[in-house]
Amino acid sequence: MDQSKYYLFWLLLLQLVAFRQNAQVPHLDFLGAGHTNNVSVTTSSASNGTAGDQTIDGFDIENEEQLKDASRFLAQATFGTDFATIQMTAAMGYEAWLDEQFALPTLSVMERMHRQNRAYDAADGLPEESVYSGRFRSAWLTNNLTSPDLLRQRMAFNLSQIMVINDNSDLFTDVGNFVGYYYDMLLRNSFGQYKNLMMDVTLSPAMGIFLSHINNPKANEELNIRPDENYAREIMQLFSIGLWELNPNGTRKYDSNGQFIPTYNNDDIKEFAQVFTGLGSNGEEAEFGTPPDDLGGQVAAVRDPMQMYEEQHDTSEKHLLNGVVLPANQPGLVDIEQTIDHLATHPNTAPFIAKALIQMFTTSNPSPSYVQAVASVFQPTEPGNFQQVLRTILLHPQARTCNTTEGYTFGKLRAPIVRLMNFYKAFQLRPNAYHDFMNELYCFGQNTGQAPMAAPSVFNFYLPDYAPQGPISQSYLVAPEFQILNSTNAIGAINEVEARVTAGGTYDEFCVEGEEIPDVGEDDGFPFLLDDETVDYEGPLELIDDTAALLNYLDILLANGMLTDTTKAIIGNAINQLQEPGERLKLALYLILISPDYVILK
Amino acid sequence: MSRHHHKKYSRRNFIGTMSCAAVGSTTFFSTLFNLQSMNAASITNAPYLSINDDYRALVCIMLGGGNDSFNMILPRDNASYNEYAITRSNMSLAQDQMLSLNPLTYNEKELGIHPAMPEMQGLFDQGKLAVVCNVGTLVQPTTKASYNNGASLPFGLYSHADQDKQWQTSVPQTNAATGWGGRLADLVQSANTNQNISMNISLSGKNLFQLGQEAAEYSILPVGSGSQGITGYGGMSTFNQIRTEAVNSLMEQQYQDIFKQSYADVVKASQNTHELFSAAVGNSTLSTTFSESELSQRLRMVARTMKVREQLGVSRQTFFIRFDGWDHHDELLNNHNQMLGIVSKAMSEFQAALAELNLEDCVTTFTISDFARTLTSNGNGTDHGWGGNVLVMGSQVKGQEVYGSYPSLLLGGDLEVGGGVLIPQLSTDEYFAELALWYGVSKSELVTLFPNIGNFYNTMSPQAPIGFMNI
Repeated sequence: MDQSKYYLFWLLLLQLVAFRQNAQVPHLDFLGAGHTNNVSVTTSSASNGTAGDQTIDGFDIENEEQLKDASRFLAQATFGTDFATIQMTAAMGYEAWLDEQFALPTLSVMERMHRQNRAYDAADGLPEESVYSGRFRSAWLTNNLTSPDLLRQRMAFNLSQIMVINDNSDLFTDVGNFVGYYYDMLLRNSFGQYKNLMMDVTLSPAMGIFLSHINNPKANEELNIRPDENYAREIMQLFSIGLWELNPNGTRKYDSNGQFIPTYNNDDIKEFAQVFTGLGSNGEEAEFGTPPDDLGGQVAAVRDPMQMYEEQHDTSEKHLLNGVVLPANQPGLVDIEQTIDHLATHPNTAPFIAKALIQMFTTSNPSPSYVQAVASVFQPTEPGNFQQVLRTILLHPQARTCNTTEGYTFGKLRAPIVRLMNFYKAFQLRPNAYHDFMNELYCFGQNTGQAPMAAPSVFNFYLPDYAPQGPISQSYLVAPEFQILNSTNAIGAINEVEARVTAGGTYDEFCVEGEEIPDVGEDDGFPFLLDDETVDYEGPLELIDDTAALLNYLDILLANGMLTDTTKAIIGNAINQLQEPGERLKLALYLILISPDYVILK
Repeated sequence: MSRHHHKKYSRRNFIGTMSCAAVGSTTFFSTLFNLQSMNAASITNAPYLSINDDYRALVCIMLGGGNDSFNMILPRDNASYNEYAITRSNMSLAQDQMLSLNPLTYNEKELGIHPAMPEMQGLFDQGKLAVVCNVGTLVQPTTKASYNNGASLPFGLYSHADQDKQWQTSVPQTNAATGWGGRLADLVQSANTNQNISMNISLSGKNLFQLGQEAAEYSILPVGSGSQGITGYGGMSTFNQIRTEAVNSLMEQQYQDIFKQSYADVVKASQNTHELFSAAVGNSTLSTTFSESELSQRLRMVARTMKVREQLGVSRQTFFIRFDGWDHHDELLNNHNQMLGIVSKAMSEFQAALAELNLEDCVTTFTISDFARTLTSNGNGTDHGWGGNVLVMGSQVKGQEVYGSYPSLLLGGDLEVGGGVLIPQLSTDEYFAELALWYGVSKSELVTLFPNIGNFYNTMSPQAPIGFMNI
């Protein structure tokens, strides 16, 4: 593609995004794909190959295959998109799309939280620097629905499932800013480099609170007090090298006795624990030991990296892994930076992080060659290296080839929040001007087991090696997302679809929240209507009388072309028994969104 | 502290759809359903299931946020009360306000119970309630000296997130992935004829207590017939009839893709369990009346579920209920008074329902909480503490008794580590091990449930860990 077209597409994408805030999304005409004025829509069938040029919205069968592939690419790389973005991406090509995405700025979640706080919470007396933590989820949702940086948003979310903190710490409840600034930090690092990310994570006051290495003093031998080992353990087990020595392709190494080789032992933990001593709050009048939320809501205490209190830092020599020694009497932050560097360049980290990211973007069971390809481009100290990592994950032949006829092992269960966002993005849900999604993700999290930054512990919502009982574990495969697909959540996720798609009304009756939810006066029981007024069904409604065309369109839009003929026949047979357009559409959407063909991303 | 903004939602629509969902329950996913029906029917032939003789259930009530339990159970004799009043200052109740407890043998101090809990006083007098004093999360027996000299302490002491979990896991030195109720189910679930319904049922959603390596909670709601099914499924409207048929077709397809097949299997099994559960519990009624509080309503659903245990094919169950809001940094006296009243009413109503069901010997109810609170006042409330007092209720509890030792509440005492925080003298391991033994776990299996138990209790000992249960 030449440069002029390249920029034209980009301009159109930007315009489209900008227009989404408005009541109507205009049809855009552009080269090679998409809506064309005055094209008569008659029928469409992907399966028999006979529809020729009379297919929906002016694309032919060849283009249709491209659209399905683009839809699948976007389902892997983003939280989903609308039809026009699929068309544009198919026309641009994925390399160009990635280039554009890498160049986009992002929106601050914290800024959105502030705006919502000013609009709704200030009256409750909550100051600027202590935004209620529930605001994080609404700000997250609002930004994800409005920001064009689709890839960065998905990367940040995936990183939040590796470097986990959650918003249910008591400290965070009234100072949701900790979570907001933490997420902004992830967004900022999403196209950056691993080492900077790990430094920012390590020095984040939110992480300091969550894994208790804030105000962690050096050893006091007289009182036999030793440093907290919590962060030392998790940074190795979960954020960098993992428990077992790995080959460059992510498979575990064996020792001469055929045993797996641990990466560290408890003595190593004690050495690393000494590194993470002396960190405390930033801010005026901050002292070592002052909890950051006790500093009068100072931005510096909540947003800025923790500072080093040298007198509380352990100055002894520290023996890291593989014979690396940090000399005695180094400044604390030097110790920390060298330790992060040590972990970042450990031979395990590239395959460990590569595999974790692949599992979240494309497939639960990447082949060793796929892991190795991604690990080989992982350069933890190279600026912008995550861009190359993402490029490799998303453009690897095993990700781009979709062979559904053999193997059956590529792919993954779409996580609950991803499924919700797929629907919202497909139909351009617009933020509710008044409520800005307050509570939108609260009951959703209760019912499905997932909401952003709400993992129950540092071990995320699910473990990377979780294998459900049955054919998956019998095949020696893993499927992390199945760990939260229990009886309650499986039904809960279906009912969340019901509430949003078919019921078109309030949905929170299904919330099985553990705590009494207090009334908030006049807002009690506000209707959160997700009907034609807040989501845009114009595209499918144009095809509502043509079952085959409708299902083809929705298949491309939501299921990436993966609905089988059998599934289409089941859904088609169902909606053909209905006449009313709204009912036909809602039933089709409901059935697709709960169908195994959609729920499993191939 | 301002906690706000979660809306209260109407449940009426849900009740409506639940009743619709139950209408056609015999026709869905028919193969699996029939299989389960057969299982349920076969229990009459199962040798160990003369269920009234062999039913055991534990009901765990989590008072989330940290119950100020030194205002729930209080010292009443003059000397002890004076210590209490000096330490607690403006957070103390008047000596003549509290209701007296008159234990059978405990005589270290005279004690009383909060005036909002007359029902608990009544059950105590009837021998169906016991108090266990100064229990908490401990890795090993801990003294003030060892506390100050590097004893292995619970991870995240004084932190809600951690202490809430550790009261559920009883493994306080780490972020344990399983709770002791879950580990119990891993051990015992096979005793239930029907393996399709979890031994662990939650009225409060996902929780760590009931999560094991294999076991997970089955979540139900305190309304309708309890379990959650697919909304509209089996409904009589044209739309729902069409939809139900299509859902069945989608889920009953044979998928070559094992991920798709696994997903469809979970959906089928979940709906199927719901059919079975709601069919049984939907017809389960009680004549005992319950209050309107969430806690009462949840306990009512527990009792309704227990009533149909034979139909469900279960002989061992745990139930988990979370009652949050005890983090009384502020407005302690008023809120504590109100919430203890809710607990007292709800627990006594539940015990009355068990009497109605002739299950008093089969069910033991116990409270847990993150921690007790600082004995000292912060002006209008109290902050995070450590050891605290708990209640155990049931006919097999050796009631009208106080277990452990009610500590001195004087600041600077042997157990006080600053601000009126007390080192627990009994561990959660000892407290829970006693309950597990009553439930039927052998002493040799205790270490499977409680890895630290050996630090507190010799499992070869003929004595019970604490002695409050008829074992």
